[in-house]
Amino acid sequence: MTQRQPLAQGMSIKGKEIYSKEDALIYTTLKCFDSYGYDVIEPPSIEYYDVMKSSGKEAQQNMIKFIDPLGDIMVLQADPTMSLAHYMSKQSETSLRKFAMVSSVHRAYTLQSKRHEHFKQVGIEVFYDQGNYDEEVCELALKALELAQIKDVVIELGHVMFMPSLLQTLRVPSVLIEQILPLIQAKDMPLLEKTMFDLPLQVQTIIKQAMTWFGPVEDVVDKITSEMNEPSLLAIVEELNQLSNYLKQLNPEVSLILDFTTQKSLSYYQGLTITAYSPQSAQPLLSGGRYEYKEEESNQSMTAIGFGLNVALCAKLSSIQPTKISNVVIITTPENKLKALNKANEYRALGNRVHVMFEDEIESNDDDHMIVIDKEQA
Amino acid sequence: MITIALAKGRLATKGLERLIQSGITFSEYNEKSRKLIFESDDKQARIVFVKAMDVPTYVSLGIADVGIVGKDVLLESDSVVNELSDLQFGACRLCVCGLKPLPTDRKPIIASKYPRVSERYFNAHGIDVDIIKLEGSVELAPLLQLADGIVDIVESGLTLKENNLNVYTTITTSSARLIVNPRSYKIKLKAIQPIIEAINQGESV
Repeated sequence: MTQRQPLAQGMSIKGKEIYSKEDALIYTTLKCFDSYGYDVIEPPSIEYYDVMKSSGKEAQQNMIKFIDPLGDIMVLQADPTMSLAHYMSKQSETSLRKFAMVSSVHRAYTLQSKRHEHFKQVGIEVFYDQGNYDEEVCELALKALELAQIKDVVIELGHVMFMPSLLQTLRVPSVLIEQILPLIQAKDMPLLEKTMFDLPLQVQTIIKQAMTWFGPVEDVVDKITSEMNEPSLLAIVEELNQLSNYLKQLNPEVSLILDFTTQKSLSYYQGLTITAYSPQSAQPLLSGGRYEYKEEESNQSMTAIGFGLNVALCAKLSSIQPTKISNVVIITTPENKLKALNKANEYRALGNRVHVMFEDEIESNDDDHMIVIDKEQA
Repeated sequence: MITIALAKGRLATKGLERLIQSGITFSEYNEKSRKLIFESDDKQARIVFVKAMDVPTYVSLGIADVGIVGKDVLLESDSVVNELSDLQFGACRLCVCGLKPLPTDRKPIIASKYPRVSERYFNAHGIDVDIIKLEGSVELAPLLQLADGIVDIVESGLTLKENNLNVYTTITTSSARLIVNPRSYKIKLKAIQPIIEAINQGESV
């Protein structure tokens, strides 16, 4: 092929294989969600900043904001959950609604020299007023990861209310709870020891023990039940244990961990959280959880649960076999252009990727099937 | 296999000592070697040597699972890592130093390898300064009038003394910290735990 110039900053050649994998992943997961009765929707790419306010301070700081011609502050879509929750809060009845969606998420990003990031996610949200959909949503997360065919995935279940409840049970002052929670999340033992220096020794010991309440399901459940006897907290442990058992029953090979030190990654999370990791990636493959959304104007609240799966990351790690596309190069002369174009369409109709090129532009490429339509043939 | 990021120098030597004392040995390791990666004899771990300022980056991005690094570097890096313990070695102070106290009649210029820590410190104290980032030999800056003062680590104070510099304020104290990648800590817990214990247990040795 002709030598290509490097692309401008921010552009990249993704390659047909990755696109093919991403398409396959989106198609198969949406098909799966659809089979559970989810309506496939597309959230807006641009959203009112006010709608995104419930995402929390940290998330708000990472939103890319601008002002539209009417003077409203807008953001590039940063959290499709917020758009959906806002829409649902405007409905007169908050009965059961299930959504599946593909959306692009945009965020400011300060790591190294990169300023912005955007990624495509496929996910679901369930809004409900009766019962709970924890099992169904976790089951779909598991299925989406299975469909992605990624090796060595680990699914983590957590509960963001566990640690605050524990600290309240231990009668830790609320001001101190606010300071201690992020340190437990960061496992920052040196600073934690300093921060809780004035607490009774017995309380300090329990908090230090609680820092280790994460890991393989059986180990964690055994550890907590032997070290604590508070019924409300043990009920949360049992809830996650049962959910783990359910997922194990669906796929005995699934690798599951529990983490009771989990904190809110988004301010609206109120209960169960689900995250999937791969040893090959620093970013989670999938994350989500249960949350309460409260509409400021109407004061109406609703419960929902959902997750998003990072499409590009999963496609990169996926062993899904992309559809094999053959490269065909038709070499022709200006006189035979129309004949060559017709021939190209015949090959495209058969699923090939076809380039039409004129004689003096061509360099050979081993991967390409070459057809020459020249004067002799014409 | 668990990857441990170490910064060549005293912190690495101490960290390695603790691993070896706990039975995690690296026969191939030779202090004079230019190799940057050494596998443990049981093939369960490997150490990688990186620049001190890069240890948090390697760990936060999951390239390394575990790292040993000074608190001063951690404060400067802003990386998301789990800081598990204070290893009680490599003690030093992060100080504001200079030939004379910072001027009050104009905006002082500060030279430092720690621009973020410096900015946070001076902002918190309501002092407007210009900060120049340097990569090394920071003590030179006041001597050659590049800056009015420096923010740098002070261990024995000998270098400062030999260059006629004084310590005016201690911003914070620092020592070696054991850090882990949050994701690795969760999903490789069983493999990481013995290494964490090995490095921590040395505290009492």
